[in-house]
Amino acid sequence: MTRLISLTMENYRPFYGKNSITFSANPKKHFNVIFAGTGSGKTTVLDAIAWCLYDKEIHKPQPIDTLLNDKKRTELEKGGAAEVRVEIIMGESEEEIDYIISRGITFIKSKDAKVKAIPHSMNFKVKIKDVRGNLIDAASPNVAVNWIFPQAIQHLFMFDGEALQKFFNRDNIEQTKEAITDITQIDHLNAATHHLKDFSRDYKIEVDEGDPEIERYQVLIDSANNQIEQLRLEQAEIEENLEIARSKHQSILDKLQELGAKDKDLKKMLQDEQTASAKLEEAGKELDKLKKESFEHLLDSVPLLFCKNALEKARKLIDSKYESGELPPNMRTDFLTKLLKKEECICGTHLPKGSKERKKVEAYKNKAPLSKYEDAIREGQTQLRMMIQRDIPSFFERRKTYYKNISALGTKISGLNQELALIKKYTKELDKEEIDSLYSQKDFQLLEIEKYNREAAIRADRINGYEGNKENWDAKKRELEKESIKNKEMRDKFVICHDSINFLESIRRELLSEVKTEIEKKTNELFTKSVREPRIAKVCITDTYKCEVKNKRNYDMYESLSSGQRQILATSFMIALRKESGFDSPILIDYPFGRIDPEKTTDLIEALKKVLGGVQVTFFLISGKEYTDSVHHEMKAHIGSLYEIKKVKGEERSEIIKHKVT
Amino acid sequence: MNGRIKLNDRIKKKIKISGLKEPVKEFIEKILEIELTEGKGARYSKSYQREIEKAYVLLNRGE
Repeated sequence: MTRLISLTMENYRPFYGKNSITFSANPKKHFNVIFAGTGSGKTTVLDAIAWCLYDKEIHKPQPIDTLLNDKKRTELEKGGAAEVRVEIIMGESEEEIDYIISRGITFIKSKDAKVKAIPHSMNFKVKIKDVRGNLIDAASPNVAVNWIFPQAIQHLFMFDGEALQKFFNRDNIEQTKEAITDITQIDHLNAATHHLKDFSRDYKIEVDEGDPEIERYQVLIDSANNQIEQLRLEQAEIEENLEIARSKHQSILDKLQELGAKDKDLKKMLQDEQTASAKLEEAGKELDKLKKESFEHLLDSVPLLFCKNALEKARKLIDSKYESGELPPNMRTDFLTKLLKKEECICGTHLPKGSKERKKVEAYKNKAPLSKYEDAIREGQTQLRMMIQRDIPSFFERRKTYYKNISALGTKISGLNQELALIKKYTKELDKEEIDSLYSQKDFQLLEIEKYNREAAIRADRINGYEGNKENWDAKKRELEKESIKNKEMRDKFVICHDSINFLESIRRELLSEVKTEIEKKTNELFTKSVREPRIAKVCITDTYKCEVKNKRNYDMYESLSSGQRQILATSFMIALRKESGFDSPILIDYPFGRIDPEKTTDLIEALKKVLGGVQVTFFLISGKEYTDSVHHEMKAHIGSLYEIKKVKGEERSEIIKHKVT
Repeated sequence: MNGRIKLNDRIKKKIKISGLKEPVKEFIEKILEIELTEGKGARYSKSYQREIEKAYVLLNRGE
């Protein structure tokens, strides 16, 4: 496997003088990490590589006259010259170098102090190994570079994390499809088959073209071609409609973003606002009711509280009357009153007015003044005991309960107020009707996208069916033609072409199927391990190399993935693509974790370690945001080299600092 | 690299394990390499002609 061994940048953009990075070629320590703060020159390193390989800065293209480092530019005297040079060394290891690629251009400061690149001063050299293993200059450096690191598919090996989200748009899918057929050389199989079919016609002398069987197959083939053409036209129309639906869907998403959606579901937030407001109102009413009850309880109990001491005193007085024997009275006054009225005692003695006996009875009656109240006193004693021993303590218990419940409701209301305030922060400017309308339109466009995807898939299936039939009929036609050739030499040569065509067609189908299956499997593995979203059932790769994320009802839910999830999907897909391309090259990834939350970053790194075992990967990470302690911890066992790019204070340059991996 | 374009390992393996006769296997590898280097131009026909002749001779020698 060819690996990056070193990169040297001389006076290239922020890098003054010679600045080098040595990459680890150890298959076990296959991660190289380059981290930097924003604007320090991290992405510039990727552009240096791209410029060296292709004379093109891919990530942040700028005019060529700005290539020279500013400090170097300032140092130049009038008439003086300086060179910008980038050199890449690649090989199996530091001791086994296979390629040295270098590109340089000279700058000159004119008399009017303007610094410009000297036209035609660019020199580009590629050293490759000859048959003896010596490094020699390649006759055609551009061809050599495109064999090592084909420009058409550079986006598959130099991943731009900031652009990954756009990876699945239509143009990129076409580009990826072309790239896949190029990497797997399926295009060349097709070309060879096509040329062989042309060629084999030269050997079909003496073939009776009027043979009805041969003609029958030709008619079938022509009919299949017509059907395929018709289906392709329908597909093109569907693709157009799909593109329109996608574009409309994206516009709605952009509009929602403008209204403050970002990763939030505005419709749900409005519903949440409504729910929280209703809960708050209900809690408010409950609190009012509780306060009213509490107040009424207090009012009802005030007399009891105020009279507590008097009640105690009364109870004690009554109890003392009973203890002293004063109560209950020996004689009841109402009984004595009856006797006096009757003027006769129960012993039969008469009690006329003024009599001595009557006066005795009257004296008894006067001695028991409380007796007529005895029932009431007895009742009162019981009531007093209940009030003092039961009602007063229970009053305090109930007060405690009221205060506790009021406090709890108060806390709940405070929480609801906070929740509502948080939601209103996002929803205060929103127009509910507008949001409802946007979400309805979004859902509608999603359904349209699903519908067109289904229709496109149906046509793709039918085209595959016709293509398959066509190949069979063509093979049978050639068999018949072969049998009809009388001249042995012609027949033998025709057979060579015929057998080769059959073989190439069969391996083309196998290759497409194998590569697609493996890409799908690896994308699925990497994505589902990193995302862990219960709605997601699996990732599918269509025949046109479009990535679909299926939910449990087998609908494509790609459009409803968050930006972080799309980033993980694109990363997973490109890594799978690269791995299955059969193309051996190192990978460079810029900003891979920027949109992904920390927990999922850990999962993604874990999955990357598994899928990219032994592949040299260079990560370009933003310090703090992407390159955190936990990321370092996850990766450290695999890190072979660690560099920091840092702006030098007070100077127009950045420096590259090598760190030890701890 | 040796200055030549390399045929994909996956394809090479499929050619190797196919049941085709050796001269035909070599022929297929050669024409694929031609496609990798010359295919898009008009020069392929002479190269194809040459390889077919070679394969034909080898096959007949084998018989």
